[in-house]
Amino acid sequence: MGCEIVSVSADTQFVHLAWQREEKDLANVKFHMGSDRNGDLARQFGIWNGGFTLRGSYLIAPDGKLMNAEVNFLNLGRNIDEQMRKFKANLHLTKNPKEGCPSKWKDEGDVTLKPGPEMVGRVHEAQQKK
Amino acid sequence: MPCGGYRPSPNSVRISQANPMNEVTTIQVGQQVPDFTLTTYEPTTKGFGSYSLAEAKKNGKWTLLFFYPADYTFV
Repeated sequence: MGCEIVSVSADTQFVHLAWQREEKDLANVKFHMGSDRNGDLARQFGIWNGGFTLRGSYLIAPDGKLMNAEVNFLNLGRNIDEQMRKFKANLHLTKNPKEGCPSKWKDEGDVTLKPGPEMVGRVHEAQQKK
Repeated sequence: MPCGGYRPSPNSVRISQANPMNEVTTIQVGQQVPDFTLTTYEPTTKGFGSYSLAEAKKNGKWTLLFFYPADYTFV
């Protein structure tokens, strides 16, 4: 879908290999498994936690701009459906820069908002339109 | 006390000067991510490679970075 997925931890590429080979849940992995050995990249995002990286997800546009950031503490995993929702919304908003995707937006065809004078105090009504 | 009760102690200022780590600027949403390159393991080819943000940008690709604490943990 035009998006490269890169997992990142401070482990080496050798440990990535061993982990991916051993863990059944990783048997179908197709994404790049990046090694941020010294935590340099994690530090730039402010998620370097003394050798362990917090569970941060960052969506970067093709022009290099950071569009989303989500950070969970060490003990909470992420939901792939929400990551996909954000990615799809970003694709839609790139093509339709005057629109906004509300919290309930899930996929193409769902109601978007066009901020303007007529929407002030009428967000509820605007979300009912199809 | 003014300023909502917060005033950095001389001690904390000294610590931050002695520790350049505290001065790393965090990238914010809406800002440009500086180009980076990571050494990678590529499960599709079972070989080692690299991932370059500059390369992805050149190819018109989005990039989803997915950090986790360490291998052999969950995601």
